[in-house]
Amino acid sequence: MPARDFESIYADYSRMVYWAAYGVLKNENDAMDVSQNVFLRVMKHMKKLETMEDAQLKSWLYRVAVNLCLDGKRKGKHEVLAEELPEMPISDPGALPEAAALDAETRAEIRHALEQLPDIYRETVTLHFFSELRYEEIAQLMGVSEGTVKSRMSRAKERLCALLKGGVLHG
Amino acid sequence: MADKFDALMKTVADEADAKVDYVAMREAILQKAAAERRKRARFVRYGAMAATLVILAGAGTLFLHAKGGFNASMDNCASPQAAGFAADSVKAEEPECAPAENASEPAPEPVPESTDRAAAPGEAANIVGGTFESATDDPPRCSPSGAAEEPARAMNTEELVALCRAAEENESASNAALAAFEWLYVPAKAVEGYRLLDIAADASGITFTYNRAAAETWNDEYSIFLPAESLSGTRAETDAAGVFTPAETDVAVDTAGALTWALGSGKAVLTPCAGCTLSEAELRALCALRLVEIE
Repeated sequence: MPARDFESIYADYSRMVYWAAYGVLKNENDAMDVSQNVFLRVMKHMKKLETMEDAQLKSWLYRVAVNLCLDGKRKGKHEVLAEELPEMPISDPGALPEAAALDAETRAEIRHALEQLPDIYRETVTLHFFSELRYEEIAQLMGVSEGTVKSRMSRAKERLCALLKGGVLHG
Repeated sequence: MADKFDALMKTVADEADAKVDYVAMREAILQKAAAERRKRARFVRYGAMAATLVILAGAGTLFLHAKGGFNASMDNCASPQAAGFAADSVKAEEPECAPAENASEPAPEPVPESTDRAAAPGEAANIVGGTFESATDDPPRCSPSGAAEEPARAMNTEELVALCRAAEENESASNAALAAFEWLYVPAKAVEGYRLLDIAADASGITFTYNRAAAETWNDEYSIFLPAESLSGTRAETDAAGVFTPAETDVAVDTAGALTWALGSGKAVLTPCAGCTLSEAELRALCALRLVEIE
């Protein structure tokens, strides 16, 4: 059984929690508030958490973060399920810029495109690239199969490419 | 393409993350935690004082009853409207009992406890036929009864949620769980079903859950997925907003006060916990579930 303290949990999972919250809320300040509240709950439930397995702890943190996010959004409109959305055409792979060549405008364009993704795709992309979780972990957190995560990621990429097409990336 | 995309997104993610001030966030968390601790300490300190005062006041009242001198003390302290009021024993403009002033005057019976009880002006309305109708049921008003607060009570779902959260923040074990939902439901096998969007309250204070995931999470601690087949017959009963309210007659109440109703092949149970002050009617109001059909 791993023994943890607050500092170690914060060091290991603050990034995951923040970006998980951001993936739901699309707002940095709100994500910061939710992250703080998540870790306040960590302090409160420290005895329970200090002996949890990593996977359990991640699941707990994610669930608390999402619940707090949704708590704030509870009066908002219902989420549109991504599976119901029409397919987008696959864009030209060669159209993507080299990562090293990104300028500030391009980065902003990509972030903007990311925020335009349907919730379920955006959250998947955010959890993978920003929270640095593996597909297997995302599947566990979201309660879906790994295949579903891969499928969502693939569709998210297609949509991102389509959204970026015609933007600054393509002059 | 995939590698290129991944590298691109990784770069964007790392650059975005580098702008997040995790140190400041940690400081803010520690400050909030310290503020909560101070608040809790105040709650405990003043709560204990209030509890002590209530106990003392209750003990005083019981003592008066035991001595049988309560009515006599009321005679001694009563307002001028009271039948049998002795005009020269207590001045009408002095509702407070003042033993030092009255000590030299002959009292009908020696009742030193009378200093604990004075009739307030409003109590004249309780006097019927020359007797005090309900004086013995009232708390002593000369005591600092501001501490004797009524127990927290929720009159509707929102208030219950607020109470649960306040209790959770205060870590008050006795009030932390005003009501708890226990769900007994069948595993979701089908893709079609309903997602539960709203739980009024549960023991942990989490008031609602949106099951964002698929059917496999049926056994998740906080997520509830109600498969369509388990809701047969209830679909038509959900209103336009997706709220399903079980018929009055479908909700059974057991001797422990738990409310149970069938949910297709499953069953939902709303169990009031220790400290719950909700009436049965109010608990019934919590049985409404917000269900949203998914595909």
